[in-house]
Amino acid sequence: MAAGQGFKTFANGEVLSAADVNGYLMQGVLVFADATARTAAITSPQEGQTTYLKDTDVIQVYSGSAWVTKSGALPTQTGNAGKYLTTDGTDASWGTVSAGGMTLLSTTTLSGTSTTISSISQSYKSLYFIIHSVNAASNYIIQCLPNNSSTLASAGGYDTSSAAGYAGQAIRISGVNNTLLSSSTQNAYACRIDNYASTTSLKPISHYGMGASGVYVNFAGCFRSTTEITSLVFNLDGTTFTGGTVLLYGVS
Amino acid sequence: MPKTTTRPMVRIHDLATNEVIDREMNDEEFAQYEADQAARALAAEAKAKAEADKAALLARLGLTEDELKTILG
Repeated sequence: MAAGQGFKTFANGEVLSAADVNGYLMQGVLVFADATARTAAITSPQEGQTTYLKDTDVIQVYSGSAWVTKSGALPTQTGNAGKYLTTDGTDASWGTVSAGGMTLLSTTTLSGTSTTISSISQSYKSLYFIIHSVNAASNYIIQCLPNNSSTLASAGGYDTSSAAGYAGQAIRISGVNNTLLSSSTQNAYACRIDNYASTTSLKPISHYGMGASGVYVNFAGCFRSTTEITSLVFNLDGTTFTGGTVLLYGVS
Repeated sequence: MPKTTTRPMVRIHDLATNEVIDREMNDEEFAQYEADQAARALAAEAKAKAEADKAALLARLGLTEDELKTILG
């Protein structure tokens, strides 16, 4: 008698035959090293027989014509850390999460008369940085010089100390002529530079934020160079950093 | 002869190695720094002169700045 006979109640004293063992008792999950070992052991599989293959960590059931991994069973997790589960409508598999969003490239403490962030990865679409809690030896203006250029930024916009923009200068992060007081670290500004890795186009920039003086800034403009930006230099237009942090992100 | 003047310090954070280096300005940086300082001094001097000229003119006219803005509308 072949396997897969369902259920039988054995009576006291009943003789247990080979057919009964094959048909009723061999119905657990049968474990094999791999499909080859299973084929060698089960030469005539019966519908409903269930096996576990150790090499692929899957449970399969014989459909009557083939061994089928049952739906709901996970594919092996070994070697697939960090991946997501997907299906093609028949079988589940692991997919690789694509990169996206913002990646923190660096956290830099500002120091000296200037701080340079160099060797910036060219793998992103835009750069975005937040500069905050700046402090200095004397009153100051926060500036950013892409590729250490002090002559290629142009922007028009608004700060509440002046409605004028700036041109032919470094990016004046804290405003056109807005001087921040060395007595306060209550300041935070953000700046975005798009297309920074292009070797053929100019780079749109925008920046905004506010300092303790209450002057808020909101500027938009351009870094007028077709050279890719590989470094950012931060300075205070003549004085020395005594504090402050730049968080630099690459935007995919 | 040992250096008697210490140049301003600069910081460089190299993202390729994640190394942070603090060092004195090199010759090129220091030359630009001194040029920038001189330009700032000239700009500050010009701004101070303009403020002084404005104050002197207002005094001659016997007006405050707010009164002048009111007249000009």
